[in-house]
Amino acid sequence: MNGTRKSIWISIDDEGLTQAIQTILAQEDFNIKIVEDENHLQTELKTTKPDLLLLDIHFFENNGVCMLKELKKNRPTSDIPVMVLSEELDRKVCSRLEVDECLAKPFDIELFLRKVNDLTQSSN
Amino acid sequence: MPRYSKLDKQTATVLERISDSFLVLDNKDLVVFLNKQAEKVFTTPRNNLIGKNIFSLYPGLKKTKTYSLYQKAQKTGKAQQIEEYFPTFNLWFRVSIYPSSDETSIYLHNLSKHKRSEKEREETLKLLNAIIDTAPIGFVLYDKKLTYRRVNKWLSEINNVPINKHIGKKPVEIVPSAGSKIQKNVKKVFTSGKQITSIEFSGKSNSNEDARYWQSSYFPIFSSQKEVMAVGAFVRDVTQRKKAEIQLKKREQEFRQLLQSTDQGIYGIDRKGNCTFINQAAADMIGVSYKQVIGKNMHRIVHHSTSKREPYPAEKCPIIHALTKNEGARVADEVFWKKDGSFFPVEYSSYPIIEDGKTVGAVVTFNDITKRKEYEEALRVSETRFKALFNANIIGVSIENAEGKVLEANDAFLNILGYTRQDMHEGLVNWKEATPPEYKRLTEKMLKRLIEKGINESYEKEYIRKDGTRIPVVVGNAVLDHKKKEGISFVLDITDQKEAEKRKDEFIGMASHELKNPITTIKAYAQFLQRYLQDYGDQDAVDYLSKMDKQIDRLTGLITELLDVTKINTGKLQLYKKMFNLDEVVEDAIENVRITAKKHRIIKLGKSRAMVEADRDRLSQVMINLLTNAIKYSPQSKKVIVKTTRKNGTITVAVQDFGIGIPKNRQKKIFERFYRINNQQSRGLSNLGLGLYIAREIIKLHKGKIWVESVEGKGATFYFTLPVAG
Repeated sequence: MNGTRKSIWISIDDEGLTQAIQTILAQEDFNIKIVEDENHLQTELKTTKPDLLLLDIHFFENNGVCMLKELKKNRPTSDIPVMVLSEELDRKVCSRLEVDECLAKPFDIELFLRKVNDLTQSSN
Repeated sequence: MPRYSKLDKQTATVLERISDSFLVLDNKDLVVFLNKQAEKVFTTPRNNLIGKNIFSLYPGLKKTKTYSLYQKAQKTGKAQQIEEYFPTFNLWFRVSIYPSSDETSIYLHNLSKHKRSEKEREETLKLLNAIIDTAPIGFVLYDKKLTYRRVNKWLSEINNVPINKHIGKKPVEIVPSAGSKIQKNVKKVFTSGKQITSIEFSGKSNSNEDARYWQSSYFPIFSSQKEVMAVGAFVRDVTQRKKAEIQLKKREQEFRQLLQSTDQGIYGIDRKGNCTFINQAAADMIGVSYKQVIGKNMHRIVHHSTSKREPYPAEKCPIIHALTKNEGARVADEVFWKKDGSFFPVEYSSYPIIEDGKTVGAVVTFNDITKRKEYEEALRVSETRFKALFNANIIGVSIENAEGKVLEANDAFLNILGYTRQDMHEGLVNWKEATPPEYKRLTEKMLKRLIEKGINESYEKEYIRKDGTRIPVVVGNAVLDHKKKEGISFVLDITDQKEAEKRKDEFIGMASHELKNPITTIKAYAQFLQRYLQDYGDQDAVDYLSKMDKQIDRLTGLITELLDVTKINTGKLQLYKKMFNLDEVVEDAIENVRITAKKHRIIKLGKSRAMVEADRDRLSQVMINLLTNAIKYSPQSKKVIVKTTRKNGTITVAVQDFGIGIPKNRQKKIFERFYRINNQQSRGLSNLGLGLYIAREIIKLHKGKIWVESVEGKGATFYFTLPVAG
C-alpha cells in the first residue's frame, strides 16, 4: 500500500464474519470501521467518506437493500464504491442497486482481496 | 218243379242244371218256365214268376235291345242273339232267343265277369292315361333302345323340352347332365326285370342354371311272354323339397354350431327328464362327456341336491315343472353339481318344448355365475367400504355433474368448502365456481383427462370457500356415469400439510442462510491462515488447510443444493437469461471438472455451434453435476464422453460414463428429490440426492428435457435438450 491507508467500512450483521474480514483486511493494511446499522452509517457519513463500503445483503431480509438505496440516492454518497456480500449472487439486484461488486458467500479470499483492491484503487 | 211248359221232364232236368239261365215265355209274355239260374237272376222265387208277365214285373227290361229282338224273333220266327248289359240286374248277358209257334225260349249266358274285367281294364287304362297326363308327376316310358316312347306333360316341363321332341331320343340327348345315369337305371331294369324305387339324383335341365333334384322310380313292363318290353318311370322334381332340406340341414348345422359355440350351457331333456342333447359348454361346466349324459336323467346328475347338500326332490325342481306343469322358469339362486362332487352357482332357465300341443321335453340353458357372485360380493364389500369412507368424513367425498354442481357430499366435503347441507340441497355448491381463476386452466385440463380416461390421479389446487377464504386441497376424481356426466371427487384438505411444507422450506432457507455466514467465516480464516503460513514456509499446515478448504467447499455445495431446492419448491428459482454459445458452457464445465478429476479422461465430441438464451450459471451447474456424477459413479473406468448434437432447433448434450449404471426401475426415480441409488456399488458415494432433481428443474425451466439411458454394469448416458435461441 502506498500513501494513505484506504478506509473500508463494514456493515455485516454476523459478528464472526465481521471479525474474520476485519482481521484479513487489517492484515492487508486497510483502515477498518464497523458500521452497526443505517443510522450509524448516516451519522458517520456526516463527517467522512469510506473508500469502500462492504455490505451484507440477505436473501430473505431487506436490511442491506434499504441502506444501499439510501446511500445511492444522495449525491455526496452515491459515488462511494459498494461491495455486496450475499448468500446468493443476485446479479439482478446488484445491477438494479448500482453496486460495484457482488460476491456470493462463501468467497475465495484471493478473489475478495483482488476485488477490494480494485475498488479502493478506483475510488481515488 | 213247376210245369207250365211243353218241355219234357228230362229236358227240364238238364236245363235245371246248366250254368246259364233259361226261361220260356208264352205268346202273352207270361213265364212258362224258368230254371234255377234264372230264378237267381230275377232274385224272385220261381212260383212268384210262373204265369206272370215278366215285362210287367220288370218294366226296365222293355228298354233293352233284347226286348226289341224278342219281339222281332216272335214276329219273324228267327232266332236272335245279343250281348247286352241289363241295368235291372246289373249283369251282362249273351242273350239267345229261340222262338217257336207258341213259346219263346230265352238263354241268358252271364257275361258279367268277363265284361266287367274288360270294362275295368278299359276304365283303368283311361284312368291311367288321365293320371299319366294330368298327375303332377313326370311319367316316361322307355323302349329297349333306351329312347323315350312316351312322355307326359309334367316330364316335359321338368326337362323343359316339349313332349314330341323327346320321342325317339335318348335321355343323354335331352338331359345331358343326368342322362347317362338315367340310361344306366333303365338298362338295369331291362336286364334285371326288377323295379328301382326312389332314386334321387341331381343335374341341370337344359336351360336352367340352378342345380335341380329329381326322384325317380323305374319299373319294368312285361309282355305276355314275360319279357321286359318297356321300362316306365315316374319322375318327381324334388328341387324345392331338396333345397328346403338342404336349408333345413344347414339351419340345423348352424343351430348346432350356435349351441356349441355359445358359452352358455344348454341341454335338452325328454318327457322323462333324460338328456336328449347337450352342448360343449354345458358338458364342460358339469365336467362330463356327451356320452356320459345322453339318455341319462339330468336331475340326478346336476340337480340332485341343494347347496346345503340336502336332497332336491325332482317334484320341486323348476326344470321338471317345465315338463309336468308346462311352466317356464328362470332361477338364479341354485347350484348345479359337477361330476367330481363339487357344485357351482348357476343361473338357469327352463322352458318346455311343445309339439302339437303336447309337452315333449324341455330346454335348459344355464350359466356358471361363480365369477358374478364373486363380483357381486366384491361390489358389496367395496360399497360397504365406500360407505364407511363416505361416512367416516376423513376425506371429502362429493358427487357432481359436469356443470360443477355438487349433488351429494359428505360432511367433510361441505366443511372444506364451508357450506351447509341445506346450501347443497339448494344447489348453491358448485366446485367449478369455487375454483380460483388461476386454477381454471388446470381444472379444465384435468376435466378433459377425466372424460377421456374415466379417472384422474390426484392433483393439488385451491378452492374458494363460502366465506371467500382459500383452502388448499388435493383432488382426485372418477367418472361415475358417462351418460349422465356425473363424477365423484375425493377432496383432502391439505392446509396443515401446506403450512408444514412452508415452514419446512422456510426453515431450510433460513438454516442455509444462517450456515452461510459461519462457513464464509471459516473459509476466510482457513484461506487467510494458508496465506499467512505459506509466507512462513509451513507446507504441512498449508496442505491441511487446503484439505479443510475443500471440505468447506463441499459443505457449501450441499447448502447451495438445499437452498436451490427451497427456491424450486417456493417457485423462487429465477433464471438470468442471456444469449450465449452453449459450447462455451460445455467446455468451461469440462475444464472445471478436469482439474479435480485426474483419473478420468473427458472426451468431447461434436459442437452445437448454437446460441441459447439461458442462465449460464445454472446450465453450468447442470453440466458440472452430470460430469461429477459420471466420474463419481465410474470409479473403475477411465473415460467420460460428452457429445453435443443439434437437430431441428434442438441441442442435445449427452454425458456418457462406463460405470456401474442404473437399474431400469430406478431410472426415473433418480430425478426425484432426495432419491439416492442405494446399492453395493454406490455405497460410500455420499450426497443429498438433490443434484439431478435440481438439474431436471433447471432444464425444465429452460423448456428442455432430461433423461437417462443405462444398462446396469455398463454405464449410463444422461441427456438433456435445449431449444436453439431464436
